[in-house]
Amino acid sequence: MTTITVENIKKSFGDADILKSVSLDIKDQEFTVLLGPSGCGKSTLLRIIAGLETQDSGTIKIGDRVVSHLPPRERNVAMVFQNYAVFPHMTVFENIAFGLRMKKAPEKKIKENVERTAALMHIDHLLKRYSGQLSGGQRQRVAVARALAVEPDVLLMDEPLSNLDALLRLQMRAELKSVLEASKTTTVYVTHDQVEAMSLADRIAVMNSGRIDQYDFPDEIYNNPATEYVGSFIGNPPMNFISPDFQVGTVPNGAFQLGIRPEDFHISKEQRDNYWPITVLTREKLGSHQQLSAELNGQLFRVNIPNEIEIESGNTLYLMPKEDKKRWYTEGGKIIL
Amino acid sequence: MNKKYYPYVLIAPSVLFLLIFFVYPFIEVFVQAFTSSDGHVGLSNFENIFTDYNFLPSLKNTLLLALVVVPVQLCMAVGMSLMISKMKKGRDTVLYILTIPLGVSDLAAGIIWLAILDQNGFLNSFLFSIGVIDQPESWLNYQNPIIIFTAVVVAEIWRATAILLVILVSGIGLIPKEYYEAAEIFGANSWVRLWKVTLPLLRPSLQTALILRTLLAFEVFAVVMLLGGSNMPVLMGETFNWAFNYQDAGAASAYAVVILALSIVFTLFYLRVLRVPKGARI
Ligand SMILES: Nc1ncnc2c1ncn2[C@@H]1O[C@H](COP(=O)(O)OP(=O)(O)OP(=O)(O)O)[C@@H](O)[C@H]1O
Ligand SMILES: [Mg+2]
Repeated sequence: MTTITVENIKKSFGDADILKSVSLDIKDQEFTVLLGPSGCGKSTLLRIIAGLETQDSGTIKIGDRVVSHLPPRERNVAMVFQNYAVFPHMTVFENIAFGLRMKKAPEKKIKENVERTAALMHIDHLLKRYSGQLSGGQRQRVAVARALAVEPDVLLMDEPLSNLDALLRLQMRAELKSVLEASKTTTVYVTHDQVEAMSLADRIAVMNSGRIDQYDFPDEIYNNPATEYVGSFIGNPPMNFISPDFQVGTVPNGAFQLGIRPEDFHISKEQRDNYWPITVLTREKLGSHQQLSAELNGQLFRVNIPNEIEIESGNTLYLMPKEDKKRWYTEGGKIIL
Repeated sequence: MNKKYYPYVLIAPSVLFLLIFFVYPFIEVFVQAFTSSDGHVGLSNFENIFTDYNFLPSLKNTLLLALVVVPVQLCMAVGMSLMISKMKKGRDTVLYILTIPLGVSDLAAGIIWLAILDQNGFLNSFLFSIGVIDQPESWLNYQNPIIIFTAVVVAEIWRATAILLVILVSGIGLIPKEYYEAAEIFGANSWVRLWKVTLPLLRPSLQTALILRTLLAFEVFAVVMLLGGSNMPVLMGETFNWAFNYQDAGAASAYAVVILALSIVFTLFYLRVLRVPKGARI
C-alpha cells in the first residue's frame, strides 16, 4: 500500500509564495498528473514530495509513514528529473544500475533489471555509451529507465517526455502508461501539456499559481471545471465564459458567468428564438471539424462546428448553448453546482 | 589587410614573447646540458652530477617531499573546498583569507617559518614561557633531519595548499547540483556522493591541480634553503649551487633537465590516471 498524502504544504522562496497550502490525496497505484502552466510550482511540489526541497509547513506521508523530514534516500522514491541529471561520468548501463547498486542488489538482478528497462525504453543498444554521446531524447529515456530499474514504491516524474519529438512522444506515452500500470507503481507526473495529462492520468491536479484548483478524474476536469481558471486552461480552444448581459433562461443564484465548451452549442444558419446572432471573425479548418472565432457586442466566442456547415468570415451564425452543458460560475470564478 | 590573417597578427606579440623569453632559454639550457666544458657534445655534465655525493640525497629529498606534501595538500584542499562550496555566506571572504599565503613569496615564507622555529624563534619562547622546555633548543640542525623535513613539509603546506584549493573550488562550482540530487534520490549518502559523484566529476580540476602542485614541489627551493640549508639538499638547490657556487653552468643545466624529465613523467602519469573518457565530460 503506497498512498501519498500531501497536507497543507506551503513553500516560499524569499518573498514569493510559490506553494500556498497544497493538499493532495493520492491513492495506491494511482497515476496522478500535476498540470499547470510554467512557473506555477509543479516542480517545487514534486521536489518537496521527493525531499529535495523542504516545505515551510505541512506534512508529506508515504503510506502510513510521515516522511516530511526524512532525507530523499529514506523515502524510497525514484525520480525522473526535468533536466535528466544522467551522470556524465558513467555509462548508460551504470546510470541505470545506480539505484540498485546503492541498494546492494545482487549482480544478477542488476543485470536483469538494467537490460529489461533499457529494452523497454529502446536504449538497449546504447548501454556502453556515455551520456555526452547521447541525444537529448535518449538521455531522457535513460533517466526514465534509471527510475524504473529500482522498482520503486513511488515514481516521481518531472516532464519526462518534454524533449521527445511528437511521434516518439506519443509512442512513449502509451508505453509508459502500460509499463506503469503493470508495475503497480504510485506515480506523480508533472507536465504542462494537457493532452498528455488527459491521456495518462487517473486523476489530474490542476495547479494555478501555487494552488490546486481541482483534483479530479480527467472527464470531470473537462466537463465540470471547478474554476474559471481550469475551464480556460483545459480544452483547445478553452471554455467560453459569457458575461451576464447574455444570460437567458433560468440563472442560478449568485451566478456571474456562463461557462460553455466550444462544441456545446446548438447551431443554426437561420435566426431562431433565443439564439444569439454572432459575427464570424475567423474560420480554421482542422480536419475533423472547423473552429470559429466569432463576436457579438464585444463578447468573443469560440465555436467548433461540423465540416458540413459552409460559412465565411463576416457571415452571421446563430447559437444557443445546450442546456445540460451549461456551467455557472460566481464572480470569484468558482463553479455553482 | 586580409581578414584571415587577423588571428595570426593578433597572437604574434605573445608568440614572439614566448620565443624570446621561453623557447630560447629552454633550448639554451639543453645545449648547455649536453655540452661538456671542453666543448664536446655528450653526457659528461650528467656524469658529473650523477657521481656527485649530493645527487642521490637531493633526488630522494625532492621526491619524498613531493610524495608527502602533495597528497596531504590534496586531501586538505578537497576537504576545504567541499566545505567552502557548501557555505552560503562569506564564502569569498574565507577564500581570500585562505589564499593569502599564496601571495607570500617562498623566500618570505621561509623567513616566516624560520622566525617561528629558530633557536630564538616564537615557538621556543612560547614553549619556554609556559614551562614546557627549560631552555631554548636548536631543532633545525643536522642532528634532526626528520625535524627539518617536517618543518619544510609544514611550511610548504601552509604556503601552497591554496593553489589546489582555488582550482578545486572553481571545479566543484562547475558540477550541476542535479547530479547530487539524483544520487541522493537513488540512495547515496554523503560519503558515497563524494566518491561516486563529486570526485569523478572533479577529475579535470584534480588533474590540473595535481600537475601544477607536483611540478612546483619539484622546484622547491627557498623554504628548504632557509630551514634546512646544506642539511637537506634538493634538486633545485643543487642547480643553484652548481650555477652560482661552483660556476658550472653545464652541470646546473643538467640538473634543470633532470627536473624537467621528472616533471614530464609525472604530468604524463596524471594525464593517464585521471583521464576522462570521451563523451564523459559534464
Ligand atoms: N530555488 C529557488 N529559489 C527561488 N525561486 C525558485 C526556486 N525554485 C523555484 N523557484 C520559483 O518558484 C516558481 C515555481 O517554480 P517551479 O520550478 O516549481 O515551476 P514549474 O511549475 O515546474 O514550471 P516549469 O513548467 O517551467 O518547469 C518559479 O517562479 C521559480 O522562479
Ligand atoms: Mg518544472
